[in-house]
Amino acid sequence: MSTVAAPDSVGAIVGWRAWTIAQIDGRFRLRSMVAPTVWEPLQVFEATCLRPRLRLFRRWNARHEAPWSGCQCGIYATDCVTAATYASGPAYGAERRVLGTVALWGLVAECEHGWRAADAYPCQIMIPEHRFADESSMPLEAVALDLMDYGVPVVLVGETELDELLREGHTAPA
Amino acid sequence: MNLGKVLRVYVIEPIKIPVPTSRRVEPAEQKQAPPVRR
Repeated sequence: MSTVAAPDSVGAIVGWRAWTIAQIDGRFRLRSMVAPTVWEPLQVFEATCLRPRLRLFRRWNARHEAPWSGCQCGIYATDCVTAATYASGPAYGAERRVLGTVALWGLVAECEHGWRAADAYPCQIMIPEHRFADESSMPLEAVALDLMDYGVPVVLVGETELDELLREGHTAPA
Repeated sequence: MNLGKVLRVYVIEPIKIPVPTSRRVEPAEQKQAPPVRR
C-alpha cells in the first residue's frame, strides 16, 4: 500500500472486534482469532503480515508493511454486530471469545465492512458471561481480573445485552 | 472475515495507551473524518 504524504489530524478510529482468550504464563490474555498472536497489556499491538511465512505465498509476496492494499493483512476491526456474532458464535473446542472496542491508528485502510490498521489497542473489553458459565478451565472471575491488566474497562455482558447489541448495533463504514 | 475492498486510507497519529474511554469515537462520527487521499 502506498503511504500518504500528510498525517491526518483525526484521532484514533474506534471499531469493534472479537478476541479469543488464551492462557499465557498463567494469565488470561487477548489473542487474535485467526493467528496465534497475543495482545500484550499496555503494549501497542502492531500489525505484521503473516502471509510471507506461508511457503505457498513466498514467491508471490515480498515483505511489506501492514496493512497493504494487495493483501488482507492488518489489524481488523468492524461493526459491533459482526464482532458480537463472532464472539457469540460457535467456538472450537474449549476456545472462548470476548468482544470490545479497539482504537486503530497509524496506517488505517477503511474498507467496505470495517478497517485494517497498523496499530491498535483495546478501548473496552466485554465478556459474554454466559459463554464462560460452565467452563472450569476459564473461570469468569479469573478471566475478568486478568483482562483488567490492559488498563481499560472490562465489563460482563449477559446474553440479553449481547442480543440487544446485535439488534441495535452500529454499522461499519458505508 | 472479509472486510471488502479498500475505500480510503488514513494515517492517524499515535495515541497514548491505554485508551481513555472518553476519547471513544462512534462509528457515525468516524464516517465524517476527512480522509487523506492517496
